[in-house]
Amino acid sequence: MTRAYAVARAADAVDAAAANGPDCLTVVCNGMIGRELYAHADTPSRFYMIGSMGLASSIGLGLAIVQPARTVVVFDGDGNVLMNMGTLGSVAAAAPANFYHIVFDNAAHGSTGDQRTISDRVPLDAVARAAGYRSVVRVRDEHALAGALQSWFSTRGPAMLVVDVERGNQPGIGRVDPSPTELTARFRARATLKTHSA
Amino acid sequence: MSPVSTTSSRVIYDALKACGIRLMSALPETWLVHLIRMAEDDPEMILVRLAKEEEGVGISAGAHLAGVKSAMLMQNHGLLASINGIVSCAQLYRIPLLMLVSYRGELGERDPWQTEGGGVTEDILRALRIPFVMLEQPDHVAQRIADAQTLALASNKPVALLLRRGLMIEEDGAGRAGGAGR
Repeated sequence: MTRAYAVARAADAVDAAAANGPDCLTVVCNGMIGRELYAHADTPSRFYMIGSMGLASSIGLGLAIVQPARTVVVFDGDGNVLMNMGTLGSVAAAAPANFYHIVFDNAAHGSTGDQRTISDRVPLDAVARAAGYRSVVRVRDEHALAGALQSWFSTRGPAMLVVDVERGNQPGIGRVDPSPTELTARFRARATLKTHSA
Repeated sequence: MSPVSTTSSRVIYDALKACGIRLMSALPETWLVHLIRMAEDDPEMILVRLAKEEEGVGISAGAHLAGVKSAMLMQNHGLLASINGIVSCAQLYRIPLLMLVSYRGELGERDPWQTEGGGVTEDILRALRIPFVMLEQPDHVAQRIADAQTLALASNKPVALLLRRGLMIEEDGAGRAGGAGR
């Protein structure tokens, strides 16, 4: 399956999970995954990284720890996970039950022309499992992805879903429009703790 | 027996609490051990243990996006390890970042492995255009931490506090807070 297809289905599942409650807070890594998510369905509760490769998972961890009542989803790529692999341990140790990590794995750096990564020889699902994620699943086709997404947000986090996707980019795909400061402002308005005096 | 000052660590910790800091991310080093223990023992504080300091930039960004005030606790070599996160996350996305950095490798340093980082710390902060101030005496700690936090929040940018030897090390100015390998 293409990465754009998998990103779109994951986004639909995130939005469906939030249908009867507050938004899921989604942090998206830099590169093509963010552009594909933005092109498919943008909302202010999605925070797109255009730089700081690797850091989406750390941002998601910070959010999940201080906002235990909200569902936090990280859209990540294999290159991003490999760059900040230590955070898999930090996530597992902090063990936020509301942390959902979806990794689109094509064993390549898509934005720069599909140069190989090492995730074909270093299976990221095995790494996350060894680090101590409570739930780790890898899916390889559309049918398995649909099945996994159906119940994923009711599993207890930290959870990782690795999705094997094809290499290649959608020609002519746009960039994430809002500026970084706009992204910060609009996401913060959705994510800020609502404090009610007791 | 650690020569690291518990008294100064307490003054710093109380000042952070007074600024409304609710989350601290940290990677230990000798000078920071009391501060980390204080965060560990404080039920009002969330302590996040890092594998590498750059993660702390992301965690502070996440906390800020959720409206929670946080601080990073690290050695100056951890600052060096965090630079792309500081530039491409905190500065690009306008995230306030309160960074407490132990300033190893200054005059009096006996550990050879700390000396190179000590020599570049201030120049790196200047190159990154990060405002910074020294914490040297217990009596100015609270004011300087409060001022740093005020500027970080007003500018939505990183601000650094450099924890110096004279504040962090008790009675032994010659710097015996070495750690392993001596």
